[in-house]
Amino acid sequence: MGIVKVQLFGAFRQCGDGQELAVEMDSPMTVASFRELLSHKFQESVSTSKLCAVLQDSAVAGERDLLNELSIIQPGQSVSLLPPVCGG
Amino acid sequence: MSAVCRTTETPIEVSRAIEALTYDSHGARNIFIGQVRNHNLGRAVRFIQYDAHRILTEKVFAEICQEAAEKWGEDLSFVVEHRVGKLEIGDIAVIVVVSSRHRDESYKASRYVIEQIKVRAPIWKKESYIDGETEWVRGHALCAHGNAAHEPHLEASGGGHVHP
Repeated sequence: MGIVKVQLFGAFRQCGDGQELAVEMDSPMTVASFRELLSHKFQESVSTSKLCAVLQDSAVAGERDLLNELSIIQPGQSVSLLPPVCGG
Repeated sequence: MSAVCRTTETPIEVSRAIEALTYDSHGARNIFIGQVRNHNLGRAVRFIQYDAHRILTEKVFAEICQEAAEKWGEDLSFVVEHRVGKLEIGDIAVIVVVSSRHRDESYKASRYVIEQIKVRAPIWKKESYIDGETEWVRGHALCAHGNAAHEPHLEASGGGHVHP
């Protein structure tokens, strides 16, 4: 069992402490599977369950690059959860 | 090609951004300024807050500038700055300055840069309205599988809106 630290941005800042969310993970998994894991976690609370739709349209990033759905996330790793963007 | 790309929590200094690109061989400097307006989709906006993954944003800015230079000239130079944090109505949110030999490429490159920023930079905007409500503007999905990749819309606290 390990912890993945998820850096939060945009609408996801209402989760965790607003900066980071700690997600327990038994073993390495793909981004796609991690997304499902997050979805289950969000559904545990009424306030975060409405974020599940946004989660499906969100990207996951490592330190400096976006990860694709087949990228592997390891316990102990830190990733960023990036909802749909609207800068500029 | 040279590019100064940054995010900042302090007010953007327009004159400094413009003066950063001074080349004797260039005849054009194109400046785009994006500022906070007091309305969006029929709602009166009081102020907004920008959030950003600053490391990735500055990396994306640099990539976009490089692409623009590959399209319109390797001697183009850029300044791209985006503000984060709380902005009031009229505050400058983003500035894109492009310096080039001739005006044609500066116009085109400038338009390209800002349009790409809107769909690629990991920046998010939360609007606070006169009626007291707030909403994170949803926008464009960065991931290929996302349903919102081509259909930007709002993530509303109550009800939904379509953001053109």
